[in-house]
Amino acid sequence: MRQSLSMNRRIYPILGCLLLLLPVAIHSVDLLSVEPSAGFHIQETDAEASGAVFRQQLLDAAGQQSVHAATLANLPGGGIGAWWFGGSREGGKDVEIWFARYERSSGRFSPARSIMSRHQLASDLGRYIRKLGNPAAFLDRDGRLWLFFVSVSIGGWAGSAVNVMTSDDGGINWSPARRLVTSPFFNISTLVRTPPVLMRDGSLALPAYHEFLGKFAEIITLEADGSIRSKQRLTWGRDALQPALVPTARDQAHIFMRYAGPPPKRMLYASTEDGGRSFSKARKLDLPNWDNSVAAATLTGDPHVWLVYNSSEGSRETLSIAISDENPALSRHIHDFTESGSGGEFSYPAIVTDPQGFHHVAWTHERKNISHAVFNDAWLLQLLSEPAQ
Amino acid sequence: MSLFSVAGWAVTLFVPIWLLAGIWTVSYPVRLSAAALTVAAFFAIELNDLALIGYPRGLLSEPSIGLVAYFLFLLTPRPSRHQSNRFHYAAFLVGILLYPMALGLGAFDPYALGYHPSSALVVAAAAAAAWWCPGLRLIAVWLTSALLAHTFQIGDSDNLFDYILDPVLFSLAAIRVIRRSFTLVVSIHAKH
Repeated sequence: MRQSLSMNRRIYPILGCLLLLLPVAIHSVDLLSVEPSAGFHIQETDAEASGAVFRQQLLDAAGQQSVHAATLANLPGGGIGAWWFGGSREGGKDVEIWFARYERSSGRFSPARSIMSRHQLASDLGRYIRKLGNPAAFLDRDGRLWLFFVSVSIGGWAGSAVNVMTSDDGGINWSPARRLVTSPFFNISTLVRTPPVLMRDGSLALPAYHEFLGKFAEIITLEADGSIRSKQRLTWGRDALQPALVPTARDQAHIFMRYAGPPPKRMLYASTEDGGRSFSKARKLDLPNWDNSVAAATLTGDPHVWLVYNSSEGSRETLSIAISDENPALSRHIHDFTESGSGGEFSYPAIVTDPQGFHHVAWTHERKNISHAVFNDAWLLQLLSEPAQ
Repeated sequence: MSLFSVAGWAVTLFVPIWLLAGIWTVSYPVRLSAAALTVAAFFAIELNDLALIGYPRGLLSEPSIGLVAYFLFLLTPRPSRHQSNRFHYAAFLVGILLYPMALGLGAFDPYALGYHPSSALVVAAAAAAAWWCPGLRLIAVWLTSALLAHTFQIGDSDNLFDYILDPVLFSLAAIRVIRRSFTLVVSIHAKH
């Protein structure tokens, strides 16, 4: 009897430790193969030399009473895709994600069609979904479209989770959506607004943010298969939302963030000089930011950064462009898409540069439409050469 | 819905019903039927084109391996109070260190460590040590099963912490730890 008890005492620890051997072996191999960040992939464009080009249009809202938070991405085979959420009101149960395709030949967008509803997402995930929110789209180098978007099962936007689906045929058909697990607390409070950035090793750096107990920005690094490799906090506290990441060199990138803290209301900025391994402490720029989303990009083949942001104090009525010379922290205002005093809302800009070097900007136009502007470097440089406003 | 999610939710629903039914009846067939029928109803009945299980899944995300292991432990014939107490303290300690910082208290995010392979090695070392202490067997089973589940990616998450702990398990552990501490304080006062 004693012998049997003694055997039991020894056999369980031995069996337990044997069970641990496999995970230890697998994770040891993983640990040896962990490599520091490979740096940012810099998009190359086949820019066409031409004079200044600027065109602007409104997209058809497909009969939706309220549309918001557009995102843009290149489409495989040419063209630009625009996605936004629309329904009776922001946060409504009838809100869906809409998609329209811009053809360069016609200079027009296709009629919008819904590609995701809360019922479809609930079916894909097998979970109750209350509402849908911000989308963020991206075309990877294999021609696969990624669409990240926010959903909420309970509460307000602080209860958000991030979902992702992909398309291998330019946005005609989509994979079932799946949920990214990014928070240990019921997987709530992670949101996206701006598109990911491609890294040199094929992984994606997805800017994200929390707005539950804290309001802070993060970078989530995803493997090429969509699994999460790492998560990195950029800020902490209660004042940074919606980071926009813009790489300017293999090891260098800039981050502009929506400021949600107490006055003075100014845009938040951070940068990395080591390919995203570490980021500078976030600080305020001179540019105003009254709790508004920001979009950022570079000139084609030129690391100068330009921004689309709300320049009005206390409202979202003036949507503007600022551009930097050498230091993105010293960007200066050069243009207004919309005039101040209109009383409307022109907000949530998104930018993508097409392979021909044309910049596309989309934004919320009084919550009734999505506006789209297309222009080139020559137009931006023409504005830059004008006296400061 | 992955097999892990189905099994995890089945256990998470079954055990509380089984234990609650034990308050009213000692009949095993009755308790078994009540718990099994509840689980079956959650998976079979649809409301607004969504199985009932979709509602707790939407609100609570997924049960951790820790919660499933603990509930299975409660089903054993004579669950050891000592093992249970130590498990509660350990789960409470992990949660109190993890949740506030992961939700934004301070610049450090401990949850981000759960994506790094070195965390798995630390947990493996802790589990190995626990296996050699007879009083920590439940903790050893908890950490080992969480580590295996994470290694073989049987759930949605890529983060080790999601296999170790969830807010429901943390809440249960916190209630037990607080209650035990309160009882201890009251008994000390009574002695004086």
